[in-house]
Amino acid sequence: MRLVEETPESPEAERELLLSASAGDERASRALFRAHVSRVHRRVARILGSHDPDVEDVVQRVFLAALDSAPRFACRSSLGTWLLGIATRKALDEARARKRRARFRSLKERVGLGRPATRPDVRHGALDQAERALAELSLEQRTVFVLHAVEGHTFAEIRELTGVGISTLHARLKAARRRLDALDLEDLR
Amino acid sequence: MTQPDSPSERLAASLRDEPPALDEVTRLRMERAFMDARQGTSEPARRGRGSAFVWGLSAGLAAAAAIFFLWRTPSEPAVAVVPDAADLGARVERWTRGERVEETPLREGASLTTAEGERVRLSLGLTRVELSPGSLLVPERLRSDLRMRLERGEVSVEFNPARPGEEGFVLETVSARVEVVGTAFRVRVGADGSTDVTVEHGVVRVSPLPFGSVRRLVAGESLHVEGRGHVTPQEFVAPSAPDPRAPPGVESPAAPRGAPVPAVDAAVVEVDEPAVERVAEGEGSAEVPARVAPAARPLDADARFELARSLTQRGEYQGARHELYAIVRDGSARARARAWSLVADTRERERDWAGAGEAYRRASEAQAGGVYGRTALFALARLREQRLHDDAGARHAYRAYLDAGDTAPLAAQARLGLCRLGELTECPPGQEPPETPPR
Repeated sequence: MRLVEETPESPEAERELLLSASAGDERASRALFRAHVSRVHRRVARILGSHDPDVEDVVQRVFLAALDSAPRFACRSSLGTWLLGIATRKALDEARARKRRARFRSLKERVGLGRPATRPDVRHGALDQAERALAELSLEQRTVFVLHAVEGHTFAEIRELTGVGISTLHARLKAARRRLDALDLEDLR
Repeated sequence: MTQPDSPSERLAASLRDEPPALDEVTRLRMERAFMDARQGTSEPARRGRGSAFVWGLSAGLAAAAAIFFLWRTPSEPAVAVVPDAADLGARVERWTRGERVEETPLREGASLTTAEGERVRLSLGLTRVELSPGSLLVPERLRSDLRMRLERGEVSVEFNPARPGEEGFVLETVSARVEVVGTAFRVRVGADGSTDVTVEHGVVRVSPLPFGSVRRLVAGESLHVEGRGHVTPQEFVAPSAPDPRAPPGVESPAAPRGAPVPAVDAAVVEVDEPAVERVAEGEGSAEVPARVAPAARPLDADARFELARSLTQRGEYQGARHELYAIVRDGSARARARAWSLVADTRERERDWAGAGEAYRRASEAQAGGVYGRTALFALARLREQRLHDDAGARHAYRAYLDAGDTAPLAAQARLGLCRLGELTECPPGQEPPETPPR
C-alpha cells in the first residue's frame, strides 16, 4: 500500500517550480516549501523521532539541498518522492553523525535516537509509547521498519533510498519485528 | 508471514494513524527559517554535507550572514515580504456595531484601525489584543517577542506567552513604552500625546519617553504619562484588589482620582510589594520574575478557583484566566487540570473554539488518566467534533477517553460520538453516521 501523497501537478510544472525556486524566485520557494513540508517533516520525524530537537533543522537542510540539486531533478519520479529521498538521506546522515558523537559521552536518557528533547510535546500516550518502542531499534532497523511497514515503500524503493541490498533489508526488518514483538506495547492493544 | 495482530503490526498501524504532527506555529517557523536561509548565503552550495545549520558557521558565512542581517533589518517597520495573518497563526476579528464580520488580513508593519462603533481583536496563541473604537495600532513584530505601537486610541492586552519569562511584549506610544512578561493591562493614548496605563493583572514596566526612569506597576495600579514624557504624581491611583465576596456588578473600591496622594516616587516606595517568587536560575527573567502574585494577599488555589468562578460569572474572563493561570503555574496536577478546563470554559464563552481546544488539551495532559484530565479529554473530543470540525482529532480523543475503561462516566456518550464519526460498526438506531457528514 503506497502511502506517499502525490501532488496533482504535472511533472513539467513541478520541475518548473523547482527550477524557479532554485533560481531565487521567492514565490516559487514558498510554494515549494508549503506543498511538501508536511510529508518531508513526517519522514524526518519518523526516522529521528517526533520529539527530536533537530527535526526542524534537518527539514530545512532538505529543502536547501533540493534547491542546490534542482538541475539534477529529471522527473523520473514525482517531486514529492524525490524530496522524500533527500529527506531520508539527510535524516540518516544526522542520525549517523549523532551516533558518532554519542560514542564519546554517556547517555542518561534516550528519546528518539539518543538525544533528549528540549521541549517535549506529548500529545497522545499511544504515540509516545510507539516512539519509545522505535527508539529500541537500531538506526538501520528503524529505517527499514518506518519506510516499509509504516510508509509502505517496497524493498526496491528502499534500496534506492539507502543503497542497502534487498536481502539485507529483509534481514533488518525481520530483526526489527522480532525486537518489537518482544516488547510489552500495552498502550497499543 | 507477519501476524496482523502482532505488536509490531499494531505499532506500524499506530504510527500510520498518528503521523508526526506538524502544528502551524512550527510550520511557520520552519518556513521563515528556510526563506531567510535561502537568501542568507552567497554560495551556490548553501550547506556543507553533514554540517550543522545553527552551529559552526565559517568566518566567511558569518560575514555574509551579518551583512544579510544588516540589509534585512529595517529602519521602518517592514511592509514588503510579509506573511498574512493565517501564515503567522494570528487571527484578526472585526466587529462593526456589535456584528462580527469576516476576519481581515494582518501584516507586520501595516496598521490596524478601528472606526467609531468598530472593535478589532487580534489573537496570537493565547494572547489577545483588543482595539477600542477610534484606535490605530501598528503590529511591528508578531513573532516570539511581540512589539506593537499604539498611535491613538485604546487597546486591552491579555498577554499569555507560551514560555513565561522568555517571551516579551512591548507596546509603545508616542510618550511611553510598556513592557510586560505575562499580564493583562490597558493603554490609552490621549490627543495631547499623553499615555495612561492601567494594570489589571500581573506586572508591567512603564518607561516615559524619550528619557524617563522605569516605573513598575502591579495589578490595580495606573500611571499617567504626559505628552512630553513626564509622570504626574496626582494621577497615581493606589492599588486595589477585587473583592471575591462582592456581588456581581459591584466594582471593588479604589482610591478616587484627585484624592491626596504622595508624589510618585514616594507612592512607589509605599506600595506593598507583591509576593514575588524568586524563580530558579535560568527560568524566566531575573528582572521581572516569571511568577508574581498580585498585590493583594496571597491566595491559595481554592481561593483562586473561587475568585475565578466569580469573575467568570461576571463576564470578566480575562481576570478569571489570570487567576487560573496562576494555578496552572504552581498547582498540583489535579489543580492544573481543573484550572485548564476552566480556562477552556472561558474561551468557549467567548466563542474562541481554538483557544478552548488548546486549553482542554493541556488539561488532559496535566492529569492524564485522572478525573479532570479524562473529562477534559471528552470535552476536547466533543469540541473538535462540533465546533472545530476536526473529525480525526475528535475520533482520537473519544478513543483515548474510552481507553480509560467502559465504566468512565461519559463512555456511552463517547461511543455515540464515535458512531457519528463512523468509527464504530455497531451503533444504536439513529446514531449511524450520516451519508453526508454535517457541517
